[in-house]
Amino acid sequence: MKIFAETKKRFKLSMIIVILVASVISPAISNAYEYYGWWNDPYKMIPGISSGTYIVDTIDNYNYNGKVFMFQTAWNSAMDEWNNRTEANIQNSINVSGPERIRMRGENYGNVGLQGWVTVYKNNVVVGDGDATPLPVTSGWDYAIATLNAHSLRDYTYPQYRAVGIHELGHALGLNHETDGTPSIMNDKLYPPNSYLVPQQDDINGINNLY
Amino acid sequence: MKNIVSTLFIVALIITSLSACGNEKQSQAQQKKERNVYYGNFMLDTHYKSLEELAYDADLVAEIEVNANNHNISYIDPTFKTIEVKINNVLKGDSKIKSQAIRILEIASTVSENANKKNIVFLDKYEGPLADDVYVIVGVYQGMFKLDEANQVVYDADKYEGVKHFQASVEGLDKQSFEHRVQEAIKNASPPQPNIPQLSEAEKKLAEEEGHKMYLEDKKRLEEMKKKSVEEKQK
Ligand SMILES: [Zn+2]
Repeated sequence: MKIFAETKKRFKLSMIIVILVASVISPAISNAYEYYGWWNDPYKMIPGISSGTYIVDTIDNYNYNGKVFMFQTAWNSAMDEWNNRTEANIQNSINVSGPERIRMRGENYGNVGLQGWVTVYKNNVVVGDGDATPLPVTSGWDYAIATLNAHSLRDYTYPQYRAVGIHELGHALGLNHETDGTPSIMNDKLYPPNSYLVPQQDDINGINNLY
Repeated sequence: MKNIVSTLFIVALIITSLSACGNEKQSQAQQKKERNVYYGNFMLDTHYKSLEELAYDADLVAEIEVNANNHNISYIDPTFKTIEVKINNVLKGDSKIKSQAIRILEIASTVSENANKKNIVFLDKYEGPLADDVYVIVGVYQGMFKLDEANQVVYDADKYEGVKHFQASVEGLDKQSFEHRVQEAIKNASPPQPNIPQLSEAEKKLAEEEGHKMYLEDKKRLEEMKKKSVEEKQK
């Protein structure tokens, strides 16, 4: 009987531990959004996202084989989507001054098989060992270059390639791909007309809970 | 007593499985630190759903061996580089290039991480401003199948946050059976699902015009923002 009481106590203690462990883990699994790096200490834009500037390093009326892209306005509006819907406040360097955090490019890179991508940097070095990019995200970053590839977006309308820009900026701000089917601009397996055109609630939560 | 022991055992199991969940993510992060390969930051053109689709988009399907002397090219940032590989066998394409060397334009060290290893790859001739006379892997990494020491097929892009759609069905096949499957796929090649519905010229024009409305709204809003910031600076 004594052994039983002892075990009961142990059982109680074990249950407390179970609940404690579960409550520590649950915030990481109750949301759909994904971060980079460690689940309890994710990598992100180190200086934060409430200040700083971006530069759009491309133009409107970019012509690729007869298709005309409005890359500059698309990138500006893509950043506005994050600025207006989340705590992000990274402004165009032509309007305000401050350290550059994101550079956006849009041009033809040919049939590399990608619509867009992001490379992240820390202290002007690609995060990682500099051998290959885009590298595994191995630490936080203070600078990102986001790219749109005209070749792969040639059949996309303005709202559609603008959405790819929003997706890439989602990476630059700290979101990884969304994989469980929750409505998200970070889902990389959806194509128009099934993909999302603006950040969704889960994306917004993801950014606001990261910083 | 037996009950108590089994209860404790179950509780212990729950605890270890819960913490294992956390550990797994940590070891993933650890792995990322040690590797140069990472596919998570891409927006892929096409998600291939079969070998037949890969074969359709491939100019060249070959067994390659990665030479040690790869060399980098520079273009705006270090995103891209080319790597020289030796062709061991040609399954589709010009068989004359067997035992010759070709260059692959790669992103995220898809190929160069596998130096001195054999791979069966689906390649497409690259057309673009980055380099001349090079190939790209169809689907960035989706058309690359490694052969391990036992000559069995390995596809592990999912380890690096890449996609894995049908590839699990060929993993573990020995080289001969895989090559047989590839040859069948080349015979029965079929186009991959287009990303977006194929529109007629008239429909395309209409969609472009519809999309352009959003551009005009964006443009107007951005100009107002710019005007406002200029006014604020003047104050
Ligand atoms: Zn992405």
